[in-house]
Formats: sequence, structure tokens, C-alpha cells
Amino acid sequence: MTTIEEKLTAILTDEADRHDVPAFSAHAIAQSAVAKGFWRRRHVPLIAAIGLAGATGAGGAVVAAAGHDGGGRVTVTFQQDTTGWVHPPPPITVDSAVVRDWVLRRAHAEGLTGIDVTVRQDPFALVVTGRAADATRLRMLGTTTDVLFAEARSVSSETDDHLLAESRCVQKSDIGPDQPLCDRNGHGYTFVISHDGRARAVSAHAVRRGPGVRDWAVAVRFDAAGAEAYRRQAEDRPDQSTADQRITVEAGPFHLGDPVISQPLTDGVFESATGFTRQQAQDLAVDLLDPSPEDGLLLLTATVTPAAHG
Amino acid sequence: MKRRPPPTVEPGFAEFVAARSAALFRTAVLIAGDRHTAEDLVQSALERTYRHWGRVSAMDAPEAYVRRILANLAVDHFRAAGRRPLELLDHDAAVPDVYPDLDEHDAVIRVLRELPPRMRAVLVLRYFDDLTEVQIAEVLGITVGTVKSQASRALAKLREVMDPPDHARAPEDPARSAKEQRTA
Repeated sequence: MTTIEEKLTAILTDEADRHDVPAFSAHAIAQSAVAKGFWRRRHVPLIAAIGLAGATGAGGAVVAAAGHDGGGRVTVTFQQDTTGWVHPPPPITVDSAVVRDWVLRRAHAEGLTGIDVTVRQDPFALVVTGRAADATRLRMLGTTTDVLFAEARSVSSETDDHLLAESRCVQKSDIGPDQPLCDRNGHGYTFVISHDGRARAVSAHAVRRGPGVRDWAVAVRFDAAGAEAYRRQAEDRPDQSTADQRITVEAGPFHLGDPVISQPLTDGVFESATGFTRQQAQDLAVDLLDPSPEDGLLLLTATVTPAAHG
Repeated sequence: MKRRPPPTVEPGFAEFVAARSAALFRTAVLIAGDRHTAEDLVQSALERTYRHWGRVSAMDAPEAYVRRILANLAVDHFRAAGRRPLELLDHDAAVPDVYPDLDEHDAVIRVLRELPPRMRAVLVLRYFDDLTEVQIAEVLGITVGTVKSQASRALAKLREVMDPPDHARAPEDPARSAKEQRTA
């Protein structure tokens, strides 16, 4: 070990010694682990939980969703999710008018009518009221879209250090394609976000790729910053083939799983896997074009209750 | 929403947390740079460990498994927060200056904070946790060659502020050569 290395070891040791070590409670850790049920990334449990709620009719681990008729109208309340944080995350501070306009724009794009939107601050709450028949889609109005660049080869921190059986490599989804959890060799994904945090689409539209109901895909073109972020992401992985680079989009319950990028994304264009219905593909295209006005909205939970009368 | 707490915590897990959480926290705080983030990272890593504790406890080196989760969580965390500059260290309280050369100490830590997250993790795992390059590659899911190149680049940056007394031991360092020329 050189002098520099020895000195660095001493400095790191001194630095670590300067922090009091907190007490970790095994019981609290176990309780939190059980409460969360499953996890991947900070906002993925929200997405997965919505899918689960839709599939089983029960509330998910993060999203408390209880559907009621409420005389034909329901209220969906989006609030900050602080579940599982040792220290509460920073409170959401947003421009109420911007968020309200965003929700109304999305509602209009998805053909939802009779929507009332209220944004409350401190604590943050986004309240959307609409027809009970639209409850599922209303619940999507407060969710955000996130484009992630994923690498498939690294051993995932989310899965075991052993290869997973094929049956465990796919998370079934009732909405859109099943969600792949492994690469072709059975290694779990490690998701990494783009350098810029978010890549925005400048165009996104549904395209039909077969005769079936679920043969729809979404064609997306990134803005220049998004394409550049992907290029840099690929450069940061010089030991990884481009076939192992993937782009994933997480938007509400949708997940553009496994659109394997087999060549450098120089023009910023890619197309999702098929597996969507026409409506789903169109909804996702809307989400991609209007992802979110505020980063802080990523951690929202949604609660559906009967709308108050009068 | 009602949540049912686990009826009991496996004794082995409780023992593991009691014995190893401090070491994990020390690694985390060096990679994360602040104790709150480090605490969250350790908490998350241990939660994931608990989920697979039956299998993890049977491993030869369960801590290596947890450390892998922790390191990947840390790297992912800072990639996700890539737009936000890392703040300087958030110490618990004012402490006596026990380090003989605080300027150098602070300069090194500052450089460490400015490194890309994976490069920072490589340095901490190599020079604080004393892992081998092969072990680091395994922990971070990268090749040994990448570990070497990342460590080499990181050390090159650190050399610029550490200015070791034994210059003759690294004559190939361009930064030091330049400094020597300036002082000549």
C-alpha cells in the first residue's frame, strides 16, 4: 500500500469515527419489511401496489384504495407517502396552479369529464373528484411518469445473488406487458436513473404491431437532452454491451418492460414492447408527453373515497 | 391501512443487526456523506436482508450479501439524485480537532464527495472496508478491471490534494510532476 493509500485509509477511518452510530432495531426493521411487502425502487412500490390492487381488489401495500359508489362520484386524494422512511422526506412544496392545470390537462387528454381539482398545501394533498365509473383512471391522474435507463447485467440489489428461476423473473401485470425482473441469463435488473434524472419525450403515440387486442406498443422520441443522457449512460458502462442496456418507463401502472435497445440511441427514438391495448398505449403516450410538473410528486399515495355531497 | 407486525424477529437476525449494523453504518456514512441518508440506506438494506433472512443466514458471509445491497442502494440513490450536489459532511456535533492535518482531511473528504457515486463506493470499500478488488467487483456487480480503473482515477484526483511526502514512490503521477515543476 502506498503512502497515499495509507493516508486515505486513516482519513476514512477518522471520518467514520466522527459520526455517532445510531441504534438499529431489528424488530422495527422486520416490521417495516413486512409492511412494505415488496420493493424495488422508491416509487416502484407505488406502481406495483396499484397493479396489485387492481388485480386482487384489495388495497396494496402502499396505496390504500377503497372503491365506493358514493352516489356516482368519488374523490381521490393524493398525499405524500412517508412509509418506511427513517426520517420523513422533505415536504412537497408545489405551485398549486401548475399542479391543478397538469391534472386537468391529463384528464382532458384522456377524455375524462366532470373533474374537480383542488390542491391543498401543508400538508400537501391533491384532491380529484370525478365519476365513480372512472375511479381507476382518476387514480392515475396524480401519478407521474419516469423514464429510466436500466442495466440488466449487474447483480441486482433487489434479488438474491443466485440466478432466479424463469418463473420468478416476470411480474404478472393485468395492465400492459408483464414486467421483466431479470435479464436473459436470470440476473435481476439493477435500475439506474438517467444522468439528468428525467428524459422527456417530444413525441409519443400508440402504434399497432399485430392483429390482437394487446398488440399495441408505444413509439417514443426523446428530446435532445434525453438522447444525450442515454448516450452518456451507455458510455458509463463501457464493459457492458448495448444489448444489455434497456430503457424502461414507469408511469402509473404501466411499465414498458424489455424494450431492448440493440443499438446506440443516437436519434433518441425507441419503441416499447407490445402487450398494451389501444387505450393503454394511448394513455401511456399521454403520460409520457406530460410526465409531471414537479419532481416531488413521485411519492404520492392515492386514497379513493365517496365524494362528499353538497 | 392496518398492518400486521411480525410476531417475532428471528434471533439470528436480531443478533446480526446488533453485531453488524454499526459497521454497515460506518461504510454507508462514508459513501453517502451524511448520517441521515446513511441511516436510511442501512435501514433499507437490512429490511431487504430480513426478507431473505432464511437463506442469507445460511450463507458463509451474510455480511457480504448485506454490504452488496447497501453499496448498490447507495449508488442507485446518488444516481437518482444526480442533479443535486452532495453537501459537505453533516457531523453530529462539534468535535475536538483530533486529526493533525484538518486542511488535508477536509480537502480529501471534499474530493471524495465530488466523485461519481460508484467511484466513491470503490474507494470506501477498498480503503475503509479493506475488500479486495475481486470482492469489490462482486459487491458492485462490475468487472475487476472497472474496479481498478475507477480506483486509479479516484486516487489520481486525491493525489492532487494529498501531496504525499514520498514523491519518489509515484513518479508517474502527472499532477505531482506538475506540482514539482512549479516548486522547482
